[in-house]
Amino acid sequence: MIFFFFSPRKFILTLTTALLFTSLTFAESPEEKGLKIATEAREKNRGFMGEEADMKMVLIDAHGTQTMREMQGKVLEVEGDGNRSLSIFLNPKDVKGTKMLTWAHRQNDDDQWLYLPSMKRTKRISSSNKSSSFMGSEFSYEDLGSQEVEKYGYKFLKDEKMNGMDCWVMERTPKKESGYSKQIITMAKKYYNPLKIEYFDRRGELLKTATFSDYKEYKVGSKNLWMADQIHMNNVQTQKQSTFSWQNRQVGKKLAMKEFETKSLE
Amino acid sequence: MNIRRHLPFLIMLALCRVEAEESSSGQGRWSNPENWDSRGEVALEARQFKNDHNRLTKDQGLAISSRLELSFGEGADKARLRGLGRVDKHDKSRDVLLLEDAYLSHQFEGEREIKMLAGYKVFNWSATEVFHPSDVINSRNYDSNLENLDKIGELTFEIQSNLLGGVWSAYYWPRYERPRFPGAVSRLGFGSNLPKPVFIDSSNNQEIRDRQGLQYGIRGDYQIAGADVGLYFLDHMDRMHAFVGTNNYTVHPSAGLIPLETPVIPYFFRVQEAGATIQWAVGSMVLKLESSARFYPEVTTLYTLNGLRQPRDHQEVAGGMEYTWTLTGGQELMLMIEATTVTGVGVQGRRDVTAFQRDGMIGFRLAMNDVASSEYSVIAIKDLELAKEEFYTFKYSRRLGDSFSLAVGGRIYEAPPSGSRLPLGLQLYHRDNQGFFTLTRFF
Repeated sequence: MIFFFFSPRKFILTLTTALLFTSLTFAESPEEKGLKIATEAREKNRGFMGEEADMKMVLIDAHGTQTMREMQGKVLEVEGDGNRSLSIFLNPKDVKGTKMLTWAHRQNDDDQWLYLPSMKRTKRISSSNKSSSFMGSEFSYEDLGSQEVEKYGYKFLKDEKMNGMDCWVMERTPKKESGYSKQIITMAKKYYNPLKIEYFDRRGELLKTATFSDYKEYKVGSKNLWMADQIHMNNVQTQKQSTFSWQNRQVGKKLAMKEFETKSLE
Repeated sequence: MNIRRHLPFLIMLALCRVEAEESSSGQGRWSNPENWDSRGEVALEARQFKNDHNRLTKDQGLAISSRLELSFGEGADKARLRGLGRVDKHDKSRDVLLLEDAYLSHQFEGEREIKMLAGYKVFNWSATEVFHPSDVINSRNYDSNLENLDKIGELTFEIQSNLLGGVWSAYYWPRYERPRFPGAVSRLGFGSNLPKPVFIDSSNNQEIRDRQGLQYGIRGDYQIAGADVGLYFLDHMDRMHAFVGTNNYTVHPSAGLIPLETPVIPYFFRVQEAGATIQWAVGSMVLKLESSARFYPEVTTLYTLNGLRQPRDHQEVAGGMEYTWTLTGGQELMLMIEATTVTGVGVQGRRDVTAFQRDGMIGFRLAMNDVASSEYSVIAIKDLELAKEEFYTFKYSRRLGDSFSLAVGGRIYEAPPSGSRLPLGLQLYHRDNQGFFTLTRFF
């Protein structure tokens, strides 16, 4: 009998110390909780297999003048690494047929190629310059590209309600080169996806706000996935806006790996 | 056409067709508009050269050009038809109709993916921006920009498969497409209409004028640690390196060499070449390399205005990098640096091979990434061996609405005159400075 070796006083002291240690061990720091939510969100959004959609982007300048951009997109889910995606530009007409192939990676820089139909050339491009504007819009390549959990640091800030939905609010800071110093994400607990992201420039000032809407539920196998069909980006510094939307979205589509090879771009 | 020589490929084509018909599950797929796509452009091209005070040449160019592309894609089958046409008001020799692509391809499904292609095709094996030792398959239209000449489709039979961890392609080209040279009134030409080129086939060291002959090649493409690596071997008619002269000459005991015809015939020789291309992204930088080692089997010695000439075995290498900065407004500033050299021959041998025999290039491109896709670019090329050869080009381009684009710019050549000798390198463009304006309608 083990208790014979302890006096009652020593036993209480030991128990108190153990409980205190346990509570300290299991208390999550804001960083741990933020990372946990981000990791859970990745798991919840996993399993879409493949996705194909028509995409439109409306560019709105400070005077309200609108310009339309059109694309087709395909994404292939890759087990154990980042996804592979292919964007085909349709409009404006001078870039029709231009294709951008991206192999996202969890740790390393993404591999990226641009196919230029006028020259029939497949050109490898650097994926490091993510803060460039995407087709003259308020979206940068970083906003629309892969956002692997491993490439950011996270910090949980608070619980909040937005549009009547329970949300987590957390801060995301890039570990590698980025156009932003930080992002504040308001993530809906129901969707495990953001309702809003605030982007702060390198000086720490608010630059843009992205609002995610038109969430639809897609069933793929045993999983139910929520995806926003529209993102509205408002640049608070230039007063320009852009809206990115998905149409004819097919989720759970079986896409072949060969469609995402450089040889398939020609 | 020698049917027996092309029999294996006619069989291959027939197999493609049978396979395509067997795999076709539904009727009317060729008539289904969803399987077709098209793109095209019509451009108004104006150019003004610096006055050369020569009434025989045209200092102005005003042309309408159009490029049309029609493509079909359904499952494993693809087809593409693409061509370029140009009509010039002042220089009829610029009028051109170039077939670029006219091919059918079929992908055979199975454990090993095999793709077959037959028809005319333009290849782009470039890794670098202005010096292209490896981009050698297609004949060129020399009445276009020196650093990126228009290409002419080559009749091609291709088989491609995943092999040895990469993608390997084998090629057969049964016909030598002729390059196009500027006419007598063109500021970019020799000042005379060059006769049709002559091909020298080294297998029997004889002139080939019917343009039929065996050309073949193999290429493997790999992705290794963030780099795209291409390796190739070719045995083909070298259309990138013309020797202008004649092989019809005699040796007089006292007068020496005497040509028996005007020595301005472009000659092309069979070459065996092995080379590599590399594109490697390292952070914000992309490193590039193109190289080719060329071996000319037994060749004919030509009489040229620069003396007796014949192609010599040599190696050509071009390397460079591009580095991109993203500015605070989302604009991109790209720095491009490249250099090229020819080794294995002396200075004269290098000059015989290419206009850029030992040159360096520095260029900047500023993409505003705005709604109009405004872009400024400046490129300077300097001969690192011959101090007096330089070339500058600058361009501004932007979109006008959804369907139009505008480009204006200039091209400046600094090179000494060739005198009575055959112009070499940039000497051909002595005083050919020009400004240009292009308005393009896309549809």
